[in-house]
Amino acid sequence: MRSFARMLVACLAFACAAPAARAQDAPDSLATDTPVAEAPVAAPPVQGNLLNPNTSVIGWMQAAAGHDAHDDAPAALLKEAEVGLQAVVDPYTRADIFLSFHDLEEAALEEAYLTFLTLPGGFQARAGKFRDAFGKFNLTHAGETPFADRPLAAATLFGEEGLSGAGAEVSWLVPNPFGLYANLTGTVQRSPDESPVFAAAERRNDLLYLGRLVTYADLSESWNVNAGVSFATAPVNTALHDDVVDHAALRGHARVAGADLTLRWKNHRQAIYRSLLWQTEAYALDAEQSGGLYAPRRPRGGFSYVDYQFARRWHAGVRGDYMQNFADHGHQSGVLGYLTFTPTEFSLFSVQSRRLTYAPDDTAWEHFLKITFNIGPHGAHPF
Amino acid sequence: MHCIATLRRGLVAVAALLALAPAAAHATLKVVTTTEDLAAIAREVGGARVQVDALAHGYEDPHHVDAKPSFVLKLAKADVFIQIGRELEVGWVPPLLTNARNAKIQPGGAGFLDVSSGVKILEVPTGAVDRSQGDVHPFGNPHFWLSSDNAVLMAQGIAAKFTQVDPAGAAAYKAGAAAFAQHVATAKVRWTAAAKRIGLTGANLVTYHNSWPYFAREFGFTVVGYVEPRPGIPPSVAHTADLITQMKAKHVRALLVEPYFDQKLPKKIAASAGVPLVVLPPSVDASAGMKTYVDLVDKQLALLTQAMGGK
Repeated sequence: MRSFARMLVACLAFACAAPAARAQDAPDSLATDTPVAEAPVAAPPVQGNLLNPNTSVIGWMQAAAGHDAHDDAPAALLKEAEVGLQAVVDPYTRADIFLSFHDLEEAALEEAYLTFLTLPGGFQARAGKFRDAFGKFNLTHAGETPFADRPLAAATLFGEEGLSGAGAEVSWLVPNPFGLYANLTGTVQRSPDESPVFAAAERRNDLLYLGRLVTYADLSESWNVNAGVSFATAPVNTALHDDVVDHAALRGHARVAGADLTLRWKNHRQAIYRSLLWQTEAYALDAEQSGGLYAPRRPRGGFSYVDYQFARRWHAGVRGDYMQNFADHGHQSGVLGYLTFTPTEFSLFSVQSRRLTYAPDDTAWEHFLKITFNIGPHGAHPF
Repeated sequence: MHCIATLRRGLVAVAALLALAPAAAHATLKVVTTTEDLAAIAREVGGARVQVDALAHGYEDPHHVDAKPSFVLKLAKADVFIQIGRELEVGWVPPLLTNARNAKIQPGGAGFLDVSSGVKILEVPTGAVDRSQGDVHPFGNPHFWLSSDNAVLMAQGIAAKFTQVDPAGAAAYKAGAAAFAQHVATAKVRWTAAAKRIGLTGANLVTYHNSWPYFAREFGFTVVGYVEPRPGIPPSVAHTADLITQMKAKHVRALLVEPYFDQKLPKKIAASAGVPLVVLPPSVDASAGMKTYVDLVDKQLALLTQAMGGK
């Protein structure tokens, strides 16, 4: 514990010193050190990799300390190096591919999908393997969330990597008299390979069906709100029923409903200094096997967190977790707090502490140092 | 189970209700621009034939605008989309265009215009570019609208795009661009005289961010330093001290800062160096009464005149 604290202090000191050191080492900014030239009138933007896809890498290193009897993650590891390849395919489609490399696991194809840009009537479609539009949080790649872990309820229901799979999605911008952004999404996928509640597809008609309606409104110049409801159903993962003897005989469907609400504040007149985000997601699972031989599983769960940017390069946040047990009337809960320093838009250092209560006499107290970096073309700011 | 079924029925009902809404009335040419500067020029070029909406407010930092879903609604209905380009809006425009479901305004589409392809660009790097240089723009400095010559070229590019999308209005768009050029030419005479009168021409200035090379070239002053040690990098104590020393040595006349940057440190630097701090709006509609491009430059020179005192 003490050595971890020393490591944290050393890393933070390095993080805080790094930009200043770079600035001090830098050639005098009073004179431009990059050769510059004027482009002729009407010159197109110069691009060295014409027609190649944009290539980017997000690296995520993590150190952990403390004790969790249910999850003995290594003290230090490369959680993920995610390679993104993104390009417009033709005037009608664009392609996005994300490959994920882990320290202790095999490389994986995280996402690879085609987006159809020119469908009429406010429709858009995606085909391939992609993260599902179930709630808002599930759409964010793991390394890009503010957390060193995944919220308890999201991890329990959708796994450490979130809900994703191969299939097709159609979304529709729903016209309405209120001038509101309203987007309705329908997805059909092969039942996901690694999901705690949904079974991996064994037959061609083992499919996941998903629907989501999300709306957005600007409440004022500084405040806005995003609210959504989601529903997904697929064959049930029989591992949920750990009291079952004959798993092969068990078939049925798991259904998950979700609701999410995100409230944001930002002073757009000085946007880079202060912001506030409050996001809450709640889930309800109904896993019932055919024949009623075994008791259905109907746990509820969710999480809520607040992220406050209190200075240009500093964020602090706290998250609360809650998840009912599958097999009994008990529940698990947790609290995570973090302090994050972002030297630039392209790197991040975050110290985090999490206390999880699996049962009244079974608690875990862990501490993390999360470091991420982003190289490649300037990506979009997350919203 | 009951709550899930209710939720499912609710989803279908809300979607059906929303779908019954009437479509909005259609204007001659619906134009969406990223900035108020583009919107102001587009309005002068298009006149009554266009309805123009800017995504970012004039008081916002155009590098850091949130890609709000409400922008998608505007883009979904647009006939023409105009951006500054050179990666000024790279942090927020690409996901908006992807989700706009509007084939016309996708890059390469008939309704897409990147005005940077028709103007004179400064500071295009000719050597290696990486992030050790800060959040650099690898295709040149994108603050080119702060040159009146470029503003006229932008108006011509916008007129050409409007003509391509709405050929029936060709004469009106040509006349609109010509009138804009005339307004700028007339104003430029008094702008140039004002810059000379207040001693802006030939002066050394310091700015917060590297937003003003075009403005400097237009009025003949030299930017001898920046509060940011590199683009997008907050200043260190050592850089700040060095900057103050250099400002005194080079007889800097003023420190310019955009309204969207925190002014605490620039105020201290300006006070230490003994120069006025000028909070200079870089965009149309950054404050009340600046509705046109000419209004913007008039306001900029009025603020500089006030600060530099006509010395």
